[in-house]
Amino acid sequence: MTDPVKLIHLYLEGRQTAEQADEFRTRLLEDGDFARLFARYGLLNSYIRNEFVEEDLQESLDRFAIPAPCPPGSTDDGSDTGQAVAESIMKSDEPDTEKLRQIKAQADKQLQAFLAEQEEVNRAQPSQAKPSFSFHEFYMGCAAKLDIFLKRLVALGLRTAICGVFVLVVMVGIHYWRTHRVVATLDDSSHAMWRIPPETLELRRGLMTLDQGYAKLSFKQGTQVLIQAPCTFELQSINKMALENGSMTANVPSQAVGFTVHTPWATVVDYGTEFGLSTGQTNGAELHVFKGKVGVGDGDASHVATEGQAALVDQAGHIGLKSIDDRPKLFMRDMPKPGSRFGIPGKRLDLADVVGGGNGFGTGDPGRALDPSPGYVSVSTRAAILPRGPLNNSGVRAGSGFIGIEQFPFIDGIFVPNGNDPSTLISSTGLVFQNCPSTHGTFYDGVVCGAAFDNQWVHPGRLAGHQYKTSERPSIGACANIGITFDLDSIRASMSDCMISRFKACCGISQSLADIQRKQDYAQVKVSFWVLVDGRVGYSRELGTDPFESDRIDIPLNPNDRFLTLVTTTPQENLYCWSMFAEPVLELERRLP
Amino acid sequence: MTQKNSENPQGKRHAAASWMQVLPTVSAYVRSMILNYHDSEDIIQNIAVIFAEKFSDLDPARDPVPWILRIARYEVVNHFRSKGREQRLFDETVLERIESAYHALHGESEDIKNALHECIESLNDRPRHVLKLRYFRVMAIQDISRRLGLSSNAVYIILCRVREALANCVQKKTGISWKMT
Repeated sequence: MTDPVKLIHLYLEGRQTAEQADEFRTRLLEDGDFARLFARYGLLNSYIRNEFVEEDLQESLDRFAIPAPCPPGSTDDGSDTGQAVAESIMKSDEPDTEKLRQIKAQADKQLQAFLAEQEEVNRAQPSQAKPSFSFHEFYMGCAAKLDIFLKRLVALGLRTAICGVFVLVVMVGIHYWRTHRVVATLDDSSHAMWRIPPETLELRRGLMTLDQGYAKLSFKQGTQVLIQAPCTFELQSINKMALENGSMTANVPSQAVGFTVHTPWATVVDYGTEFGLSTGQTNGAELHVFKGKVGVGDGDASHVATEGQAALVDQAGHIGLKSIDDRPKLFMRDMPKPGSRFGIPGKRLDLADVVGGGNGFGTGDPGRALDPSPGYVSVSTRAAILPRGPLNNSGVRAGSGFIGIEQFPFIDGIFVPNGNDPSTLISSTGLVFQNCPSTHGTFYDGVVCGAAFDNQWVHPGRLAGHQYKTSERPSIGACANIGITFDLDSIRASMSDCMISRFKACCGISQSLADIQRKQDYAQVKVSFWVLVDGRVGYSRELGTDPFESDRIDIPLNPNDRFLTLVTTTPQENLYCWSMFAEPVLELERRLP
Repeated sequence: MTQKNSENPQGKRHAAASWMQVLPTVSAYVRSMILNYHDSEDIIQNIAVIFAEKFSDLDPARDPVPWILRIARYEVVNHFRSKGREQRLFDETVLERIESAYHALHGESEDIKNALHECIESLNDRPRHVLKLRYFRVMAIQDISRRLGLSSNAVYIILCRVREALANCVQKKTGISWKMT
């Protein structure tokens, strides 16, 4: 079923398909709420038009407003004085009928003065004697004038035709040159899938859509641009482009200063620098300046963002400046080497990279960890968390309730699950894990980008014989008991025209445990793995270590699902609960227009 | 012989006041069905003439809104017929449903107007410019896209987003949620 507001927008702009028109009609007939929503948009639409009409009317009135009265002592001839008199009449305290009479008298006086002036002018002109009329002379005169006129007409026509053909040829030539000249070249690509693949590496003006992967372009004037899918953009000239939606970074050399990117919300003009720019479906545009200065805005409302600053343009076109430290890893600045990243724009988003503070495509930091200890900075590194106290006899820490992670927009928060504490929340909106099992309410090292476990030495996580420790084989370390909630709406907002279709991962207890411990020490370890969607259990399974078990998770996600939560729990003291999620990804699909 | 309501000066004033009261709702109703600017304005003028002629027959105690909306519905149907096509979307049943919705919302109309005025004031240059081209200059999306150097799709998206932003702003200012239950 189509979104009701979208259906109304499509109708208002005459863009409905036959199916959408049928749905629109059916919903108007059957759904009173929809009819009211339509009527509200109808009122809004009508008032928008009235607003601009009234504004125009006001401007016209202002243009024709009576100027201020003449200062005392000026002459009492002329129209200005007439207006001054009219104003003084209007300002007087006399009744309306008297004012009307005075204005009429004033108007009559002015009319009489004008007629008298005209008569004077007529009298001043010398009277001319009428010539005697001769038909022959009149005929000859007309014929001569007609002859001259026809000759001039033919000459003019000929000249016009020659000039017209010349101008036409020049214009066709210019048009051909403008549309067919090469404006950029396609230098490199990775996992790239184009809506319409370019025929050659030399790119001409026009609209292009990259559905998946990365592409690197070099503009003829020297600017290098890295495009990240999903992205629709238009090459406009050798130093100008339009970004309709998606993300890009640009490196502008000195000879290309003035490189311009139009977005639906603002125009970005570079002053010799490196910057990242994204425009999403719901959040206007976001500009990050890595080096130099960049102008953003329109005309009077433009701002200059400098190195380390981010400019946010909202839906109403307002521009706000802040530090890029709030979202330092939003943009990929270099083309990734083939196979070096697990996340692929437009295809799959790596949640381990998100835990590392990245954009899901390899900009995160391995070893980054999120700490649910009360009183500590939540975003840290695993190495920094381990020495933190206080520890109990088993070497683990007491957890806290839900902690929001504001630094990472894709992560809603983290928590230590415990069914004994019914108030343990799993989201910033107050969702509760209803069937959470009882735990000791303790954790070991938080949620870690890149599963790693240690006794005396660090051991990378291993499931089903595969090690997961690099950006090609990412993982999330989640020693029980721990939980993390991802904000799917924030992720969607960052990827225009993309849908999140599934969550996939492999889960289990790391086999590296067997490398350092005796079997009798860990054989009883069991951890339950949970995946919740908006608080509902989508997956749960208890996995053990004798033998080492692992399982694949694959659950579908709907466009309305907001929160995805991964949880590990154990009813025991959490010694050797080396639980992990390997290759945790959100599968992406291109939303069809 | 008694004088009709609209024939004496006081009746005329009353008719004019009533027309100003129903005009926003009637205009919105007609414009939401007839998307062509000139056609919709013609129809609103026709309705104004009918209103002036028939107002004297209306019981002063009666709410003029449902009455004038019904007249508007007949005019819209006549328009579809005069254009030589049966409007596929809006047959009379659908028009009746929409008419009821407009009647129900008549009380909100003034609040929406006042809130919208402030919301439009707060818009920045570009979205405001696009709105003006579309709503005041009555330019087609394609013409706007040529003028601004954007694709038609980008202009369509801007219009949708700005309307959305205005709708959200109006909801916030009036305190009335438009969300469907």
